[in-house]
Amino acid sequence: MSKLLEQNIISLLREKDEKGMELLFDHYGDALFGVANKITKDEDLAKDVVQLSLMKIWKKIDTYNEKKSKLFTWIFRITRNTAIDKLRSANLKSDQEIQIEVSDVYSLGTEAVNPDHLDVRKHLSSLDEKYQVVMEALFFQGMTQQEASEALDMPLGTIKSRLKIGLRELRKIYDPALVVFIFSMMMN
Amino acid sequence: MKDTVRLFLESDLLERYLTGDTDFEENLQTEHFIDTYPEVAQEYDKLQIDLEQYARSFSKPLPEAVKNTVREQLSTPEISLDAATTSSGKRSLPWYFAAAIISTFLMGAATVALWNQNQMLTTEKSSVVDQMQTLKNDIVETNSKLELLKSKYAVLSDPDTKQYIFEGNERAKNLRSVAYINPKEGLSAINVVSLPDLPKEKVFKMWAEVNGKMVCLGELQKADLKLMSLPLEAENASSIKITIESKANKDFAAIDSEVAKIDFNRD
Repeated sequence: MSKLLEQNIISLLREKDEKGMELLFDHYGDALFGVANKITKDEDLAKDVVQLSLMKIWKKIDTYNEKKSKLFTWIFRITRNTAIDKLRSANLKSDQEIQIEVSDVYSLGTEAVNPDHLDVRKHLSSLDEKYQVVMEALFFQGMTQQEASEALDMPLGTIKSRLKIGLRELRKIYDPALVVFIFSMMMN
Repeated sequence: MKDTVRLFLESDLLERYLTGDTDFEENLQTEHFIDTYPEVAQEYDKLQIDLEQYARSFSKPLPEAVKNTVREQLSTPEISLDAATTSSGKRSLPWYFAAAIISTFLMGAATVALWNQNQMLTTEKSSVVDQMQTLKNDIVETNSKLELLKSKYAVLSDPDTKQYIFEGNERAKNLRSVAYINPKEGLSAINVVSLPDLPKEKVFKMWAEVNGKMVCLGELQKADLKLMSLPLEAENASSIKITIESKANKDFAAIDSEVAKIDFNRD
């Protein structure tokens, strides 16, 4: 995401200009919905999460500090925490209900799937599963490294190293300059 | 690389800070490392980029319904996160729930205030009861003093009361007393106007001669012009005299110690 666009979105949101929200939909909406979906594993719940998160972003934009994080990092934190809270309260509610509705049918979104995302996901799936498991636990399940170590039954050192290697591998997948560099090296 | 930086990077603080899982102190610590050490800042930037790429890999088209609901909420004045409705149309916190909480809080505060006031009034009441009891005791005491005074002054106001003046001889020139005796009512009193000073072991004593026998009526004391009752024997006495005696003597009145005398003429 270009720095200029990011600055423009922040300025518009601070001025309470709805164009800022439209730009947020266009450039971050899908990513946030994906994150919410990944955490809640429930499309309806994910919709609620994104809606609440976008309203929080709109209301709390004045507390955002560009020096401390990129805009995506800040809105990711809001969405992730909202999703984890929503999931916990939904789980609590379902535990308290006497009748539990069980749906065997997995709800698929009716929206068209972006081919770019599919492509990226295909690349991501090439990442060794042992790295994917650790990254999902840390980024989407709200676990600390210690909690992930206990949940996945792995030493803390392994969690740390798999996260670092996973991120490094991920960078290789996304960083075109690095791909060109590797390709040129191979040609030589 | 400094050991502190290496140790910091080896911990999971930076990753937790990235995802917003750090507490206030950890935030301060992490921000200090980012601001102070360029290698930490660089690692943090790298992690932010990695996170964005990783998160974007799960992107899913945001449903139009969500966008429309957000647009509607933005166009509604006074957006409140608490009052914001979700797509399912449920309010997160109904107004009456908030009203119930506020009224419960107010009732609680009022209860505490009333209880405190009640405690204060109870203490005040107990203090007033104590004061009333003290006043009652004072009244009883004053009444008894009044009765005593009445009986003393009754002797003065009775027409049958006779007044006798004691005047000291050359041994007690300053002695002046007035006796009031009412033989009819059997009342008698003495008013000691002035008494000369005596050595410590000596006192003025009053005697009544009853049927030829001297009866000690008691010791005379300076009573600041107060009227003192006399024992009953005084009414039947043929004479009353005042002597200077040693404190222990109650048996007889020596003639040479006499300083004042009154003979009653009963006829």
